[in-house]
Amino acid sequence: MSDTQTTTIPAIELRRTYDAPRERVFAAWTQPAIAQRFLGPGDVKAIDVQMDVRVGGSYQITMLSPEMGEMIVSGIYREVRAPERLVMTWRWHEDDPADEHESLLTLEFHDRSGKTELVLRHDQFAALASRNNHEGGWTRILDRLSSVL
Amino acid sequence: MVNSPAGLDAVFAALADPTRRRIVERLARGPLTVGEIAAGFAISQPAISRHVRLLEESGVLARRVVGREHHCRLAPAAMQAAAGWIDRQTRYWNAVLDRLGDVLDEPSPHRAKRKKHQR
Repeated sequence: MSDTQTTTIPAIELRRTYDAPRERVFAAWTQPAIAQRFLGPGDVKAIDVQMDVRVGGSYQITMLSPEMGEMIVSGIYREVRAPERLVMTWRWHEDDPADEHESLLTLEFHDRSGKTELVLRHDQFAALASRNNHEGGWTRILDRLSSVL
Repeated sequence: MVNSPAGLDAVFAALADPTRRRIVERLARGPLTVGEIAAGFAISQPAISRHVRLLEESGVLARRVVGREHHCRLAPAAMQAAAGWIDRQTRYWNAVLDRLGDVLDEPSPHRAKRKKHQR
C-alpha cells in the first residue's frame, strides 16, 4: 500500500522561467546584495541579508514591513550545488520561540536553452526529518536521491 | 511568519506521518470512534490509539469519551492555522519570484562587472 503519497497539506511548489542563464539566477539567490532586492517584495523591505553559502553555513534575512514591523527569517544550508540546486532550512523568528516552525526550502535551477526554469519547493514536513538525523544524514539522503534521478 | 499560532510545529509534525494523514482524511468526512478508525487499518488498535493520541496532543483531533467509547472529530482551528501558514508562505513566494523577474530584467551591474573581469 502506498499511502505515503497522500498529503493533507501539500508542500508549496512554484515554477517560473526567467530569461537569464542559470548562473545568474543562482547568483541572485546566493549574493546578499542581489538577494536583498527581491527577498523583500512589495512594501516589505529586506534591510539586512547575511549569507554563509556552504553546507552547514547559515543565513539570516531581516525585513521591515509597514504592517508587521521587523521580520527575521534564518536557516542552515543543507545542500549547495552551483548553479543547479540549493537546499536550506527556513524559519521565521517569533516573539515566542515555541511558536516557530522549521521548514525546508529547495531551489532547483534548470537550464532551458539559455533561459532558467526555477523550481521553488517549500516543504513543511521534510525539515523534521533533517532535525531527527542531524549528523549530516539528511544531506546524504538528498545526495543519494539526486543521483538516482 | 508573524501571527503564526502556538503549536504550528506540533501540527506539521502530527501531519508528517502517512497513517495520521489518513486518519485526518477519514475524520474530514465525519466523526468516528477509535474502534471505527482502527477498523480501516491493517495495523493494531494500540498503534492506532498512539496515532490518535499524537493527533489529539497537536490539537488536530478532539476526543470525547462517552461510556467506553472514544468519539473523535477534527478540531478545525489547528488545521486552519496550518493552512493559513501555507497560504501566507505561498503569497510571499509568489511576490518574491515576481520581483526576482524584475531584478533579472534590469541591466545588471553584476554582469557588467564580470565582463570587465573577463577582459
